[in-house]
Amino acid sequence: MVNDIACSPNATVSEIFDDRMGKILRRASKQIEHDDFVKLMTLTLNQSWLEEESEALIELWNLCKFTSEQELVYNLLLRFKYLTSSEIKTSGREVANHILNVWNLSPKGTRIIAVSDKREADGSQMFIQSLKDKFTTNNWKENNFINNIGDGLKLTRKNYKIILLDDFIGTGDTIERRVKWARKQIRKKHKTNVSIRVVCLAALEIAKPKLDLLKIEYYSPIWLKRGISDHYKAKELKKAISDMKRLEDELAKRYNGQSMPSFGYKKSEALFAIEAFNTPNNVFPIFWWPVLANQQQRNTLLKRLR
Amino acid sequence: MNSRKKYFEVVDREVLINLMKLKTIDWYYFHKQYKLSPGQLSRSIKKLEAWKFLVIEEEQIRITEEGQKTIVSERNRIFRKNSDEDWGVEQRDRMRQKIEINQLYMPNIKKLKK
Repeated sequence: MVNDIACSPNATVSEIFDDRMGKILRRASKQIEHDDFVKLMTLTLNQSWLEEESEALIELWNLCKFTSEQELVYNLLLRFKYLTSSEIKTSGREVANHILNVWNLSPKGTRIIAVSDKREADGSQMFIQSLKDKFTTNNWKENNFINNIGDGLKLTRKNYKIILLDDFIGTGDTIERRVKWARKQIRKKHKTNVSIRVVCLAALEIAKPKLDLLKIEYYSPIWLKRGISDHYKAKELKKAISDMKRLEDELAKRYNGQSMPSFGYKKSEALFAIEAFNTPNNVFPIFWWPVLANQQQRNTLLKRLR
Repeated sequence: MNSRKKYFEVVDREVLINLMKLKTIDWYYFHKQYKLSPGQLSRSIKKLEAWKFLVIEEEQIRITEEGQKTIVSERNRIFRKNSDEDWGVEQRDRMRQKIEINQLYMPNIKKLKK
């Protein structure tokens, strides 16, 4: 019976589908306007990670008071770099290849150290764990990979080559602090001829001058520009900035004792997140800041725990 | 195209049955008619495009010839209610010859535990 109905031009969907299944499917409670739906569909088709976030996407869309704000959100999301787990693998391979074949480092005397310096879990530890399986040849061992900078430096001997590793470098502040601290510790313990290098999964281009000043070798498979300042020019830039400021007015200025980092930490304007990782605070807060100005919780595209 | 190993969800079926009737459909139709979210529709049409049922065009989708043929030839698998999973046991494998009313049931003695 079902087969016949399925091929009949007059068939209605309810005649064909299993009602039980139909009830399980969650459907939109409100209807979106045509043009908005087309825009949101285009975004979702281009950014697969948005497939799971339709509700948050619509909420963000409705947060925009003016068309120009929606245009800005649309534009930023189209250029957003969301690293999926399979891309983490690819980028991890590129990092491993750089360490092994460009820097030509051997397991003897090399330590790859996550920059984590607290008790709490962080992205650098997640990245270092995912990197290990790319080093299964040439006698690399687990003890070449250290999950925090304190222990990493304790295990460092003279003539060692240490590679400080982070998942994401935003402004470069954190990595700069870690490198300087590592140098200080090395000097204090009289460990001579220790070289420091830096690797990460992705970095903002604005961090380059800081990294250059440290006079170290560094590598990132992905370099990202700032979402607004490096993209728009002249009048468009001014308009984009004012639109983003207006949008941020919709968000609470403080939450959990922390200030909302306008345009991302130190205005770094990042359009970047890694699947299943904590979102960096460099990202525009409209994508992850969890509370509205009226103190209501909001459904966000990205999540960040602090 | 063999849809034997493919799993069709409710949204996929909604897309396919409408495509069969209308051939080319605006994305918005599925939101207006079935309240599908951009995420639900996007996931489904990308999958169906990869399976060559349709092509995604600007603001609309269009059924392919190959897709039409597959929908007709494999309609039973695509649209049937309570469709079996691949790991499911086919009903016919469970079928035994029907016994008559008042006929004594005779088990297969060889298969009984001794």
